[in-house]
Amino acid sequence: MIGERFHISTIYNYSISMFLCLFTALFSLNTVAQETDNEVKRLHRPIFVFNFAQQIGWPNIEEQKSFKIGVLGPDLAILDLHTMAQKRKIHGKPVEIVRFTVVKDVKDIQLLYVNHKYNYDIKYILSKISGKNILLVSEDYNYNASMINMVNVAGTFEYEINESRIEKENFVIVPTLKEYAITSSEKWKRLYRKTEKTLTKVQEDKDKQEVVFKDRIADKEKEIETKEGEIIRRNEKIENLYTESEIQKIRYKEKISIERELEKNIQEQILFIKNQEEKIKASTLEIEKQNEFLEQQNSKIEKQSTILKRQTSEINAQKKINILLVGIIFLALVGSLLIYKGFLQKKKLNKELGLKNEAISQQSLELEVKNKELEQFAYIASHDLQEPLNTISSFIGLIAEDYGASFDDLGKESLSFIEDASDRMKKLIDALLEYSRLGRSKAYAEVDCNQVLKELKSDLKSRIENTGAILDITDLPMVNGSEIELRLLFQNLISNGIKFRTSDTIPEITINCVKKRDDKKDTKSFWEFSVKDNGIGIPEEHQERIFAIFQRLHSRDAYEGTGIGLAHCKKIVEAHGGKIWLESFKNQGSTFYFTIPV
Amino acid sequence: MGKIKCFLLVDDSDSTNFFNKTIIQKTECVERVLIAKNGREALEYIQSGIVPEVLFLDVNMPVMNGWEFLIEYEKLESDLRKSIIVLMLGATLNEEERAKAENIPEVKEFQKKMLSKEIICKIVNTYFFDVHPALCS
Repeated sequence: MIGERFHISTIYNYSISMFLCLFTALFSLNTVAQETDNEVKRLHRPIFVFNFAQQIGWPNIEEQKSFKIGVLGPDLAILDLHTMAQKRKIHGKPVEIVRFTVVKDVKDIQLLYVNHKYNYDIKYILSKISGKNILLVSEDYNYNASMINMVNVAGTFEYEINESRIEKENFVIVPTLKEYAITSSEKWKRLYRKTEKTLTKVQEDKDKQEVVFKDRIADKEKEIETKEGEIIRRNEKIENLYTESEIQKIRYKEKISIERELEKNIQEQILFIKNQEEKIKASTLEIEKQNEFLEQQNSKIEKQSTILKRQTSEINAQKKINILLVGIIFLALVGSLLIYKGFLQKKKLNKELGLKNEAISQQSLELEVKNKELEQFAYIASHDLQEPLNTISSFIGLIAEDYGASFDDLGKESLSFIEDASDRMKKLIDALLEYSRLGRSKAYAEVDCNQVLKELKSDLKSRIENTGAILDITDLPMVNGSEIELRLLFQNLISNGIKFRTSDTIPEITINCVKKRDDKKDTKSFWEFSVKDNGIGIPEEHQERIFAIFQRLHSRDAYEGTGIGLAHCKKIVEAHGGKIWLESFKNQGSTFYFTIPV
Repeated sequence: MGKIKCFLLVDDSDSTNFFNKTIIQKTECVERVLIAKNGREALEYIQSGIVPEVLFLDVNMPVMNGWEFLIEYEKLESDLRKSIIVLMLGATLNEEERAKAENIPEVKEFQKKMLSKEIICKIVNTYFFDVHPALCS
């Protein structure tokens, strides 16, 4: 209701200022304006008072027949209140207006109205009405001094309420009353200043006008009488204006109803807005929370991003390593492929080699078999040849014994040739048998060549002594071989050295041995023996033939022997894994070399 | 000075038998020199009751060779096994054959195939009696 009033008052304000403008235009007189101000206030004041009463709940209001408003002092407002009391009820009760002149008389009323200009002490009033269920409505008192204090502001009223005092008197305040009240002292002061300004302005204006008045006073006094008539007319005009304002009032009422609806709408909207605000606050809180949460998340994300950066760098490093690894693996694969290809090639070659080796070993086996067959053949042939030879030589012996004496010279000579031939044949067969037997022995052992030659010297003692031969033998090594065969080898070579000489030469035989290594093949080292003589030598063209079996370079008359000696030597040396050769020139002696592996 | 009753020559070669018989007879210390052409014939001689004091045995023979003869000889009654067996060798015996022959107790001697007066004298001197040296050369 107050809100409504408020609006009305603003509208009033507006219309009145318009009104005022009109007046000013018409009369150019501020005093008139002030007067109209007062007129408006007189209209507003009872409306305000009534509205206040309507906004306050009295605890015992239902028991009262009427609602009584007291006015303190000789206040003309009582008239306005009377007028209003005839139009409006308060809390459904008819309104009575009572005047009090002394504070202590105040009683049996629901509301006391007092204006500051009558100089009643507000504290005194409050003390007197305390506990009497009286609402004090004051005008123009100091801030927070009364229960409800109305203040003149710019031609209308503002008001402030003291809630604690009101509630102390057990009154109930409708919330809207509080809403439109001036609540802070600051606002108060502002309002105060505003009014003060207007006041000072008004004062200044007044002062100016006083001067004008004084100037004009004489004229005015002259005119007074004429003016009186005018005043009467003006009063009439004012009365007309009153009626006009009555019409306006009706209009205002209409406007009020519109305003009410508007207000309702506004209040609803306000409520809605408040709800929205609360919701907004709640959502703001939530948003803040979420913001906090977001910030936390952000910080987490930052941490994680740093971790991620680290991890990314790690991953990059890992990637590089991986690339390197892949490269290495690829290289390794290529390498292994090449190796595998090489291996395959090698395998193929090995296989071929194996096949060839097999073929060779097969051939060597065949050769061995054939060799054995040959040896067997030689052995058996010579063995079987021996028997008839033995028979022949035996019978020749028998004939020679029993009949030799009775033979003539031809018979005797023939018999001796037969004897010689059979003897030689015997020797040849023995040599052949020996030759076929050579190399069969595989029982090789460590042989001390020095020992072998020592024994040989004693075996050949008679021949050495007979010829006066000189044997120069250096220190010889131990070799792996067959002692019997090695002895036969040395024996043959030394015998040859002694045998093949000119009759006037004293044989000199030098036996030497050095350790050597074949540079070309880089195989095992071997012993190289040399048997040097000062004999007849062997022409170069015959050097190849001398190692063949039964090969003779000289007649049996010149040099005896079967011609198998060097064949024996060759066979023995080759059976020991060595080789034999010679260096010789005719009449310059010969040097026979042979090797035995270490 | 009596004479040895009987020598038996077991050999498939007529020339050898002829030569050996001539040589033995030249020593004049044996009454009879019998000849068997192989082991079988020699065995038949012995089984008929002729037990020679000395038996000259060739190795390589047809029908029954020296080794086979020796196996059969072992099976004879002890009265018939009183000969001194001389193994006759064509050429040299190899190690294996020599070892085989030495394991047989009846084989007392190894001699060359073509005998000589010296060899006969030596055998007679060893197992029977001294022969006059003039007959041995």
